[in-house]
Amino acid sequence: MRGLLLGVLAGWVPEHWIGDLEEEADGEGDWWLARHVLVAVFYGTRMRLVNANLLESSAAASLLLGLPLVAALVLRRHILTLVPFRESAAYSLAAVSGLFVLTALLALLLTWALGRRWMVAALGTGVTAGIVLLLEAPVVLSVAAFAGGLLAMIRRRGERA
Amino acid sequence: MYMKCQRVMQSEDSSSWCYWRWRIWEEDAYGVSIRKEIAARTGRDVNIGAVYATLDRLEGKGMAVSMIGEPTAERGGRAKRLFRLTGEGRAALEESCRAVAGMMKGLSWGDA
Repeated sequence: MRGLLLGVLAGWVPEHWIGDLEEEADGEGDWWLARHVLVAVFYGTRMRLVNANLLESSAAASLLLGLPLVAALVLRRHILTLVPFRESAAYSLAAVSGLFVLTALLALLLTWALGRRWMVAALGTGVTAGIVLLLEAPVVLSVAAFAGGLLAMIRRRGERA
Repeated sequence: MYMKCQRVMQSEDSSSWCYWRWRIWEEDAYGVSIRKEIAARTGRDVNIGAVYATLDRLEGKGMAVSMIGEPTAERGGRAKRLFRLTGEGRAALEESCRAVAGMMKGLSWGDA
């Protein structure tokens, strides 16, 4: 089990990280190691992004932003059935607000992951948004609709309360 | 130096910036020894990635230097990355100790 867990890190994080975890794993259980391996993967990913050059970082940013959009494309019909209050007059405004909120959250997360490299995150966000808009505008609308619908639902619940 | 730092800080807050710098200056420290020290003193289980992220930042600022040690069997034949504080790091440590001491001066921990 230990070999399997440490094997996950091989090639992804520096060797001395793995050595440190192996040294400490003697006195700890598999759960401890699994938890630390998982978090180390996260830190390793962040380190790779921070150390990457502008082009690589932008590509990574585009990929990370694009993944939820591609997932939305695949699950579009299902997602749309989940949208509450599609008939609402406030739907359009809520959808736009939702898009802004979603994009802002993703961009903030990316900026942190990239070591606060704002320009890189902005470039990645722009490239992804451009490609998605050119190729599949309904995906953006689907995501916006879902986020906007949720916002509208939360607001209505607030008003009822 | 540690005693001096301890005296001015009047505490051993191992989560502080000051403590970290002392720790990697005093001896050739590495990820496990620093992680264990933090865990023992604060009860926080810090991830090894977080430790090295901080150490890398210190090295990037010229406050620490690192070197690769000898591989050992208990680490599966993997080497340690040993850290040591630089003169610039030592100066920053003293400055930060003074700053903390200055902020603590005159504080009362009475019945609040």
